[in-house]
Amino acid sequence: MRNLLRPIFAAAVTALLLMSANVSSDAVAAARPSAFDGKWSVVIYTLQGDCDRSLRYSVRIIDGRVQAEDQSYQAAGLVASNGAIRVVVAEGGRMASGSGRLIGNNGRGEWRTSTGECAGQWTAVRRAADY
Amino acid sequence: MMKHTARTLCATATLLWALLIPATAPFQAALAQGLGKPTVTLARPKLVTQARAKQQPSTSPPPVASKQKELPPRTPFTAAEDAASTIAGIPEARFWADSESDFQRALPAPGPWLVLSSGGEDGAFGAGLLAGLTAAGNRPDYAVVTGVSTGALMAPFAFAGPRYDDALRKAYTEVSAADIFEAGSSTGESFVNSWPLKELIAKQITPELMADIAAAHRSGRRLFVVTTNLDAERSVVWNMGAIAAHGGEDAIKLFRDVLLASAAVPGAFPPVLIDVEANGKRFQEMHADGGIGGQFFVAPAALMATTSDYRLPATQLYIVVNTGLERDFKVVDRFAPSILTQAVGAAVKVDTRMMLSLSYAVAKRSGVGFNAATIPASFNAPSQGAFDPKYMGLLFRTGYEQGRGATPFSAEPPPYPSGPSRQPSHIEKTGANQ
Repeated sequence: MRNLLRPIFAAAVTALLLMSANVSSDAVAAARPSAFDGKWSVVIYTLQGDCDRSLRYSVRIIDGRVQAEDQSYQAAGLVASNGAIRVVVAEGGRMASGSGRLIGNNGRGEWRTSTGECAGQWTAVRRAADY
Repeated sequence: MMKHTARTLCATATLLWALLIPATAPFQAALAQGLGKPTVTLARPKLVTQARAKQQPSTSPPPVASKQKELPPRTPFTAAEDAASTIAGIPEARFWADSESDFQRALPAPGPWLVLSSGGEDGAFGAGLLAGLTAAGNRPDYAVVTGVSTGALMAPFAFAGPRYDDALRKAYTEVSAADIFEAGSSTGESFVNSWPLKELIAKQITPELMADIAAAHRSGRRLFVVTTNLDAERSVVWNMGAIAAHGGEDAIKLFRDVLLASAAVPGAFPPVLIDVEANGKRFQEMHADGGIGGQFFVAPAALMATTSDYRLPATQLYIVVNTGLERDFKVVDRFAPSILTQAVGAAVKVDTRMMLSLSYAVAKRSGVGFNAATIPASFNAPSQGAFDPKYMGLLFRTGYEQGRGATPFSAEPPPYPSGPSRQPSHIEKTGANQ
């Protein structure tokens, strides 16, 4: 089951990213070191809906791909060379997507749940690898 | 016995979170509970719960970016070494919370005592209450201030006086969950990383504040913060004024570390390792939330016992309870975090109520005025997640109005809620209870 779900999740996320992001398919295939690689701390602000007013998450970017830092949630996304980013986050069967831009060691953008129940903004800052 | 049971339950439940639950929801529950807010409404967990029902039991987490960083092994030490350990250069920094002699030696001349309880984000109540007391001109220079968990975080401001009321207000109304913890970065010791709180404490505990605390200490007043030495399973009282008076970079670091440790809910937040030495040997003790040993601290347990004839050398005892004590009825989801949240919430309330009763008895036998401020039962503002600034602002305002009012404190512990006086009518009708 585990092995089955993973590729389904990955394929769905990749398709979603390609359809909706300003990130080219070349970027998907690239898988090479990105200027934005590293550990990032993302703060999510809810501006609409009955979700937590704010939460901070840790994510890691490796070769331009966004990944969860631990197993408490699932994340997948892509960062283009110009910093455009598109991410899908899943937690406990619930999914949200976000988009925006990274510039240097900072970033910001918008997010919304797949159901449209909640939406808001996010900011991000790059952190040291270990803290 | 019951008190002990409640504490054990609290600690056990918190640890269970760490062991059982592979989702982000529990850390919020743990924070809400461990830091003493038992009835927080969590929007996301509610949705997580709904979604979980649809999940296949065999679903396992996807690959993660990196393996969890392996933590370095700890330097071994014995119970005897730990019992004799001190802070290098600051031997007066602390004493065991069960040491009657050390406690009595550390006390100042009689005066009013202020006791600040655990309560997480509900510390906004205590912050508002203190500001309200200031506004009413009813804020003495407390001879002793003690703090546990969130009470520890507010204690330095409360001790330093009304000059820091605005800093205290900001600390409890202008922060959010993002300023307290980071999810998705479990440390191996905890579900979440508390580096945001560590940074927040570093900003709040300024050299200026340290100097004011040191001056108050030199004048004879005392500021005590409680942590739990997990290695020894013993509470530790930190003489924060003595640490501040010592001065220097090591002292301010220790001061901040103690505050972080006092609010380090085990399983949710990482514990804090504190450098000590014993007989020339250096090692680190593991310290965590002071609430493990009780939701607030008045005196060593043996002195508080009903069998003791110890008299508190205080003129008045003021206890600020930063957690709701009313029952929080809800049909509990069949979901581990929901079950543990409700269980720990109930345990914290029981523990707090019993400690209030005990403190009342000690104050009475000591001829000391008993004063308890609790969150009004009527306060029921919704909370949109953990550390919701809007919720905390409303609770601050509630505390402020109470502090500014005619009766900010009650002369007795709050009455226990009574249960239903009669069986449900359908049982009576059917005779099902016969």
